[in-house]
Amino acid sequence: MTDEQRALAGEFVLGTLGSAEREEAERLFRSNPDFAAEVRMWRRRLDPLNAGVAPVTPPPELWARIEARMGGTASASAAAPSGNVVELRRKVGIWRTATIAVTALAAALAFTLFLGPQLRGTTPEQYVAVLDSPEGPTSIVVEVNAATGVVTAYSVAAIAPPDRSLELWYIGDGQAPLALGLLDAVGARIEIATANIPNFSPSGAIFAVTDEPRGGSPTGDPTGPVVLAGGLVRAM
Amino acid sequence: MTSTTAELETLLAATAAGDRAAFRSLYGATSAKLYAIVLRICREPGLAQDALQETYLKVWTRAERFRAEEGNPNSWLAAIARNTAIDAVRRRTDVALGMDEEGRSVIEGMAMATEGADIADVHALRHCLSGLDERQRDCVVLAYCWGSSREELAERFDRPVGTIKTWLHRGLASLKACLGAAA
Repeated sequence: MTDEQRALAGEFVLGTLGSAEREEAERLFRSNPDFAAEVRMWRRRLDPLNAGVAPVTPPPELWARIEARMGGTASASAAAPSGNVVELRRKVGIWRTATIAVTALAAALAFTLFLGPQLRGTTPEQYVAVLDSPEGPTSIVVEVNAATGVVTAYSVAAIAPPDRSLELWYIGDGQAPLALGLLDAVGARIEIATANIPNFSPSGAIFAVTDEPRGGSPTGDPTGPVVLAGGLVRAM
Repeated sequence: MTSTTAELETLLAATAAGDRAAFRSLYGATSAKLYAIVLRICREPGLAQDALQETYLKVWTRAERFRAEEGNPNSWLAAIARNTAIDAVRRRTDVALGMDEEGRSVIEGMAMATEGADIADVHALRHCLSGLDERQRDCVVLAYCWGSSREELAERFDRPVGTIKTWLHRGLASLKACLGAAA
């Protein structure tokens, strides 16, 4: 690389080039690895100058403006599952296939171990989802009591990583995930009325747990990877 | 930015795959810092908000380039924001040329606020900027932080544009030599 190119890379990052020189720099950035490395070096080295500026929260309507220009409207994006949601469904699908043989057994076992005692003597329609990963042990159990209309989720062995939260999602057949709450520690428990879950149906329902920022997804949709998932099955 | 480099890289990768929720999270994690950077260059909220909007639309469409261009997510995002803001300012011929801050105050600010930057990198840059010829340093900092063009610097220092170019080149060369020694 010539001294001129070196100076060009530095000024490219500073932002002082005229349009012709800048086009030349952009061309070199794409075609010359040494030049690109020099540009990256300057970006990284001068980045501390951005550390001196105090953050300023942009006005809240700015996000709506950006989203409106992303292709598709905000309402369309809410109706159509995001890429992450599609991915979540796909993963859950794979897990269901892989674990279908053990799920019924595990569900029956979970029902007996964790849910059986308190329900003995009643004969309502019961559904259980055992949320596990392909490798790990049963971590979270979700029980649906159709008679009382209550969904109960227990953390049996799941623990959130430091500064993260485990968020439970209900995914109705053909529906977008609905956040049900956080299960960050062993013994944590969520109870929610099925009446509060739009279009709730045990048929084809999936429960999944994603790794989210502390306090849960900031967006209302899953943002982190699926760590546990399972389908709802008839327990008795 | 309070998010870690690894978290931002994950969000950028998901954004590249078209994940709107990840992009929303990325916006939440980075917009206050980028807005401040853009505001410093644009100096006017309306222009800065337009530039920030354009910045994130570029990030949305170019996120897949991040991996190819390597680099650190913070500096990659800051580079897009700065370039967009500088373009926005350059397009506006009526923007005030006056600087309301001195290069020195930025260097002093670096000692106070180090959020989002590696402490060693901050110290190295601070040390090396302090060792530069004063006018060369002011040109480098004014260009980087306030988006000053060579022409604006020429007016400010009452020197020909060619002199400013020489100062910038010498300043950058000295800075690189010093940073290389400090690394």
